[in-house]
Amino acid sequence: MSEVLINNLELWFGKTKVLDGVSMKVPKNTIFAIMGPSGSGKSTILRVLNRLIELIPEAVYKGEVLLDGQDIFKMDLLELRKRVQMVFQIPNPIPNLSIFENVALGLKLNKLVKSKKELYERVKESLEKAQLWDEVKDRLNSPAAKLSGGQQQRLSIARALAFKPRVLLADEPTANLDPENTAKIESLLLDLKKETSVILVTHYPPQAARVSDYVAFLYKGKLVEVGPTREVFTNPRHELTEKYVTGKLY
Amino acid sequence: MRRLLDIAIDEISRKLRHGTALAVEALSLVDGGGLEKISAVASELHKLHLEVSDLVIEAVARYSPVATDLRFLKGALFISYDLYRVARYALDIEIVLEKLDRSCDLGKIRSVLDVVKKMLEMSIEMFLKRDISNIKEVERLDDEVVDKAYEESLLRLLERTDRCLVTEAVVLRLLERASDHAVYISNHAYYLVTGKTKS
Repeated sequence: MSEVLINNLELWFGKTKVLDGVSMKVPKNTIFAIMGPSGSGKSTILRVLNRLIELIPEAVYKGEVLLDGQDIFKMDLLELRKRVQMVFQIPNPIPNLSIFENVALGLKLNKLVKSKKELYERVKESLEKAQLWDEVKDRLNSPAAKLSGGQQQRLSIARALAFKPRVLLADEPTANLDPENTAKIESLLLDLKKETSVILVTHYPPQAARVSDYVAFLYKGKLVEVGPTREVFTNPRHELTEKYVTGKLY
Repeated sequence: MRRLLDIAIDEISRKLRHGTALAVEALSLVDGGGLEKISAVASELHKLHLEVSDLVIEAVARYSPVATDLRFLKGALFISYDLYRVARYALDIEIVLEKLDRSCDLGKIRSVLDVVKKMLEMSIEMFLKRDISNIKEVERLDDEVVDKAYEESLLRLLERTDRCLVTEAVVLRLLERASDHAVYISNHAYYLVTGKTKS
């Protein structure tokens, strides 16, 4: 059974159709990249997967999205959000909260831990998985705003990992980072896939080529091609994919 | 819009076309051109192979090529070496002719030489123009002309041995190897166009 299965997903913003019959399978413990030019519908798919799309009143969708065989539209929303976490293009820690509290907050609000000791262990584990622990262990009570941009993004990832999600949605998570921090996040994603499926949206094909196991190419709301990354980048089946990955789609 | 990678690909294409002209020249110099001239051409082709390698590596480092771009660069790397090998076989043929016998009837050798030159030109054009319509013809020439000429020569050699027959068989064996490199180039054209490896 695949972790995430999308069947014939269609979505409109008012009268504008932005996703047109998208179907794809995201196997467990893989990094699945969705690439495509701006406006192709990549980020919209992520917003469907954790139902953030429901915050947009004019959004209407149909189709099926299954998480481990369960229809996500029939799941309890809080349960879904625990299992499907998301990190965004711009790191979004709560700036006046401490580093520790940024990770702990969701666990406390959702009553996912029973003691202070358990809370500390869970925060520590999340920061370790996000490869941030060594850099912040001596200043856990400092405001998150004092961290660098790359550290703030890893803190956002740690906050997501605290929920032990089955799926991590990453929406252009390195778009605002320098090459060094981009490399750190990419390396982190490779580690994370041992426990979590990662769906990575990127408009930068070399990043999809570097880190993903599977890649889907979306264009104007339609899925053009999906397959193992090696095949898509060495021998794309569709002419549009060829043009996109070689920088000739203009 | 012309991409920066296109500039590198154009430069590599020019070098491959020039390299093919040099490989054909090396084969044309056989039987009378002299060892020194062929050796100079082979050296030039070796230099060209290193230049193509550098350009390919630079293009990979700078532009992260994928899909047909990546397949082109992979093919170019191999082809520049194939061309150098052809020139080396031309040099070996000249050495054989020098040491064995130049007074024999070389008619068969000359006709096969012409076929190999034609195969090289057809193969490189397929690669550079991304048009594999001649691939069957290159394979046919390899099987039905070059390989067959070598096999027949070997059979004649088994019937009786003389200096001219030995010369012919050895030279045709070297041409059979050069012909294989022309086939390899056409296989790179096939890979470039289809993304599939030709077995």
